[in-house]
Parts: sequence; C-alpha cells; structure tokens
Amino acid sequence: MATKMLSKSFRELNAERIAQAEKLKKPDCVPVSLSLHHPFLASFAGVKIIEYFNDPRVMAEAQLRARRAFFGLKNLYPDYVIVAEASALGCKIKWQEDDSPLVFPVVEEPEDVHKLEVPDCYHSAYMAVSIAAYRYMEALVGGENVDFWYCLGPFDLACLVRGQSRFFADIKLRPELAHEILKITTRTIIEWTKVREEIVGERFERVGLGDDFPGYLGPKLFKEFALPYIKRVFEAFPNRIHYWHSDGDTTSVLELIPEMHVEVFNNFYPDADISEFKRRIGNRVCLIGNIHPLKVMLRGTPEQVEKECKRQIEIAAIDGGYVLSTGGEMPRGVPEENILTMIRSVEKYGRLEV
Amino acid sequence: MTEKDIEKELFESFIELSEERVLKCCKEALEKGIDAERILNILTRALEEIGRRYERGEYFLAELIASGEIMKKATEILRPSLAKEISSMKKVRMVIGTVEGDIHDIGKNLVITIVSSLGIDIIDLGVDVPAEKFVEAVDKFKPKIVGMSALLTTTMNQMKNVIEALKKAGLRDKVKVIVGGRPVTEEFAKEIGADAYGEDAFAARKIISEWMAA
Repeated sequence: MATKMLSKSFRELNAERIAQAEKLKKPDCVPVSLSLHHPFLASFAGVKIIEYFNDPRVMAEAQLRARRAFFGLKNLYPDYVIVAEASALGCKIKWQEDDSPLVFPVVEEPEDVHKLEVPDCYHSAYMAVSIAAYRYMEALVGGENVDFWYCLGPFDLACLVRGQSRFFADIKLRPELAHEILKITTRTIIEWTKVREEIVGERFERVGLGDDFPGYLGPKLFKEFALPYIKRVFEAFPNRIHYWHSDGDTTSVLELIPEMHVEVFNNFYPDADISEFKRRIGNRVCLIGNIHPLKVMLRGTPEQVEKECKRQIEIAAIDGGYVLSTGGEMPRGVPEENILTMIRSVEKYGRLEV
Repeated sequence: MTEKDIEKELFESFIELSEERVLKCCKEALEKGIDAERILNILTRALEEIGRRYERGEYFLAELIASGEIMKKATEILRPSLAKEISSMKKVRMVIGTVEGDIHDIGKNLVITIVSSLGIDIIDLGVDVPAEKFVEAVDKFKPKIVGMSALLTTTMNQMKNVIEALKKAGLRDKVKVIVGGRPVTEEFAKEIGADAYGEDAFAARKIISEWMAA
C-alpha cells in the first residue's frame, strides 16, 4: 500500500516536473519519460504484435501492464502512429505476426501524386481505428490517462508515401514533385491533429510530430524541404506545447530546430553528444533524452544504465529544461530492471538546487 | 565540343548532380566514339568525388541518393556498348537486400551507389527479402558477396536466419557476408557469423575492395 501511494505521488510529481522542464524551467528534480511503443509493449505483455494491433482491449491491457510496472509513468495511447497517417493517404499496410507493420509507397511514379488526397480523418482507414481505440481507452482509464497528441510529421509521411530513397532523390532531381507531396502531407497532418484536438477537447495540451529523416538533408535542403512544412503544422496550433521527435542524425541542422517553433526536442539521435546538443540548443529547446536504447538500455547492465543516466543528468540537467529518457524508443527486450534503474536514477542523481 | 570538353562536362555535370546534362553528355560521348568503358570510368571517378564530398560534410544524403539514380540511368545508356565488355570487366558479383520485415531502403541503396564505384556487379533483391530469396539468389547468380541491411532492432535478427539458411543450403562457404544498418554492431555481426560489419557505405566499400584485392 505504501509503495502504491509512493508510486502515485512520484507519477504526479514527475508530470509536474515535466511541465516545468517543457518551459525550460528548473524543477526540484529531473523528470523522467518513457518512450514505449508496440515493439516493447507487446513483448513486455507477452503478446504478439498482431494480437496487440488487432484488438484495442489487448493493446490497452499491454499498455496498462507497462504502466503498472513503471510507476504509472506511461499513459495509454492509440498506438497506430505511422499506419494511421500512411493508410489515410492510400499506402498499403502489410501486417506481420510479430514485427512492426510494413508500409508500402503509393506514389510509385511521379504522376501517381494525383492519387494523393487530404483524407476525411474521422472516417479514414486506421485514423478511424485510432479514434475508436482512443474512445475505448478513455472509457477504460479516464481521458487524463490517455495521450492522443503525437503523430507522424509531414516529412516522414512524404518518405512513406513516395518511398524513402525515391523521396530523397526527388528532392535533388524533381524538387517540384517533392514540394507537391509535402504540401499534401502537411495538410493531412494538420487536419489529423485538428480532429484529435476536437476529440480530446480541453486536455489537448501538446502537439507532437515525429520526423526521423530530415536531419540527413543537411542545412540547405532542410531549410527548403523540412523546416517550412514542420513549422506550418506547429503554427496551426499556437497554444499547444510543440514536441518534435527525430532520432535520425540532426547534428548538422540543430540550430534550425527552434526556428520551427519546436519547444521540446524528444528522444533524439541516440549517438548524439548530449553536451553538444545542450550547448547548441539547450537554452531554447527542452531536451528529452538521450540514453542509448541499444548500447545501454538493451545490452547494458543496470550498473551501466545507472552510470550513463548519472553522466547525462550531470551534463544536461544543471540549468533545467531537461527530461531523462532514451534516444529513440525503448527496443523490444530491454530488461525491466534497466528501465527501473533509469527511473530511480532521477531521484538518486537528479535533485536540483532551485 | 572536343572529346576532352565532353569528358570534362561529364565529370562536372555529374558532380553538380545535373541529371539532364549527364545523360546528354553520355549520348554525345558515345556519338563521338568515346569508348563506353572510358565514359564509365569518368562517371565512377565523379561518383568517388561525390562520396568524398559527403564524407567532408559538403554533400548529404539526398545528393548521394540522387547520384545513385543518375548513375543507374547513365549506365542504361552505356549498357548496349558495354555489353561485350561486361563479362570480362565485372568479375565480382554481389547480392544485396534489406531483410524480411524491414522496408527501409536508404542504407542498402547507399551501399549500392558507393560500392558500384568499384565496378562490381550488384544484384539488388529489394526490401523485405526473406531468407529463402537470398538463398535462391546466391544459388542462381553465384555472387562472391552477400550484403544485408536492416534498420529495425526487431528485424536485424533476420540476418542470422539468412546465414543459417545459407549454411543449410551448403552455400555459406561460397560467399562473404557483410551486414550493416543502424542497430547492427561489430559484435552482432560476429555473433551471427557474418564475415564483416560495414559501419556505413564507405566502410562497406573499403571492406569489399579488400576482399576483391585478396
């Protein structure tokens, strides 16, 4: 009972500390955030990925299991990101027994761009499934315990509808086509976010986008093909907290990230030098990260996890605006003890003088 | 334009990634009677320079991928003239693919672009390639090298399945296996019985060129 009370208290305190860190403030203790998605969650619950996706009850139960194991830190959420946005634009989805679903491009030839249409998000493929899952979860645990604010970003959605290599080639060889695709993906993401905002209502505080690939463009092309589109989405939701996730290498474009109205940069490039990221943008953007998910969380011992958490807290947390988490999502098979060690490390090493 | 002018224009237009100029130049060069192999060598040198610019941080991913597409189209123009020389020129063959359950193609395509500058014959099996397809391709094309790519932690284990399938088919000893992709490490490559790990496309090129020289 005492542990339960302590857990609840820690969860609430942690949420308050995250809210402070998002505003670049310095909370009394470093908060921690868990990036848990279907590869980890299904496996942790002992179900196959296909079972997890096929039944919202299984998805919710799997997420509840992780929530219970990790001090209530993880809210439930409709885990159809990528599939929802891509299917709405006509991409074919191939479900796999126990792996992530595969998404196949719809714009095989440049002229196929005319197939793309901004969807009716309420009724479109897996967007509709996501909405149904949200409503189920809301009824199950209450809306305050369900997140529905994160989706794919316009650049990565363009990569999916065109195919990654083809889209990168388009940017150099067929720039008009690349812009045409990006305009449609941007409008799609704005519409999808408006729908989720309507459904969630007043509790819709954040807008989160995930774009893993644009950092590889380098600054010049990033300014033309990523920045304006991502910025347009955030500008459409001026009163929300803007999260941007990119676990690709963004080292060459770091200073451009705040220009997109990003307020929180979460779970970024796992091989990033945290001190460099903190020095270059840490006074303008809250950083959530960035323990290596493979080298440390999956393959490391609890002692190695603790050592790395301590090191990163010492570098990144000193002035506030920092939340301890992983660089990218938690991979399947990470030992429970490693995650608990990461959570405990904030109390142990993250007490800050306010 | 003189032959020398055409060669200069070919080299420069490729480095500037001007697809139209490169393809036009290839046609003009053939019309002028410039040897197809010589044209291919110029393109290869330009591709190497593009690779160096990438390593120096002057070019990024879009430039590299675009150069691969231009090279492919240029080779198609040269192919009829090269046909006779191909059997003697391309002694080493490589089969490459992104493993089953994974459709990320950027890493694989970069390796194809960069390694093709070695003059190697590359058979691209595409993405989401099951182990049996790798085995079939090794049996059919008799490559010296098999390359596998994966971006996901969930799919990298498929690489082991491919190596096991090659062993089962009695083909493992006939090929060198190189693996790569973001979650893949040197240790993982050793653990699954691969011959090498390519940290990136340039590392893969270096390893393969050493194998070719051996």
